[in-house]
Amino acid sequence: MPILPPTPPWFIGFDVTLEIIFAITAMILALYALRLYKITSQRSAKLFGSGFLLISISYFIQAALNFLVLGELNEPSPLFTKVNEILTYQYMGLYLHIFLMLSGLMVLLYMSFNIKNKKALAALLLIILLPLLFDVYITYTFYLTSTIAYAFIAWYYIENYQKNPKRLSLLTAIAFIVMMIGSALFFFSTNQPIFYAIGHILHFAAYILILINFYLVLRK
Amino acid sequence: MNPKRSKVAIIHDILLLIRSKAGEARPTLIMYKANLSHQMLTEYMNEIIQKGFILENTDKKGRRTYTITPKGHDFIKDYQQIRKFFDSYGLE
Repeated sequence: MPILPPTPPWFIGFDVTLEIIFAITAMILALYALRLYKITSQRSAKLFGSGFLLISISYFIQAALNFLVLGELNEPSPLFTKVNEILTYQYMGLYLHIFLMLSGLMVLLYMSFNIKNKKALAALLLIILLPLLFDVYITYTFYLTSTIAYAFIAWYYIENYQKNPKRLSLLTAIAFIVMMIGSALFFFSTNQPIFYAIGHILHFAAYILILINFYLVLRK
Repeated sequence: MNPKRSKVAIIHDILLLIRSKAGEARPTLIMYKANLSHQMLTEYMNEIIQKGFILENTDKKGRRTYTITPKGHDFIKDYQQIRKFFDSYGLE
């Protein structure tokens, strides 16, 4: 059985709200990028949109299953049934969230490397995702892998800012650096639940930066 | 013209050029002014026609011309926004 990340009791419920905010923000970004792909046929827009779409769905699933867990906690059913149902939801949610999130991050990473070979993307996905099926420490591996992926994506956006030193590209670079730090803190949450909350709050800050950036792009 | 133009920038340049010629231009003029090879011009024009940004016409002498459509005008109008999004997210 994989080890589940513990949530600080005071944070239960807040995490669901934040995950819904992440999901909506990622969905807005994905749909806009895919709309631009339809207009311009720019391959990177398609990859960026698809990556964020996967990330958005992964957050929606995580939020929905955490919400179900919350519902179970408030149900007046026997403790054994309750624990069993909560664990079932958590495992289902965990695997779905991890697979979709890592797929989204790998698509973004593939875009940032500017590789034009679909086999490379397939290899990247299989090498990262398949071993997870047999991994008891799936949460540790997930936090480590996503931190590394965010680090490379942040690096790409730092280089993008150096090439194109504008306020908007700086905001994007900062957002991905904050996401990377947030993911790194999740790694420690398996021992210290407070890091689960701090990681969420940092991801919230990153998504707020992304929303501000998006507003500035749309502003005439 | 910038030699490292992105695909979106090239489409924008072509549409601007057609618009500057009272909304109608011939392929040779577009090829020279937009700094494109014949093959690239054909590829871009096919794509732009497919997207509905321009229309291909034939005049009385049988010469091909391209006219910009309202959708093409909209693209020019939205270009700055598209550019800002692409630049800030490194989409090239």
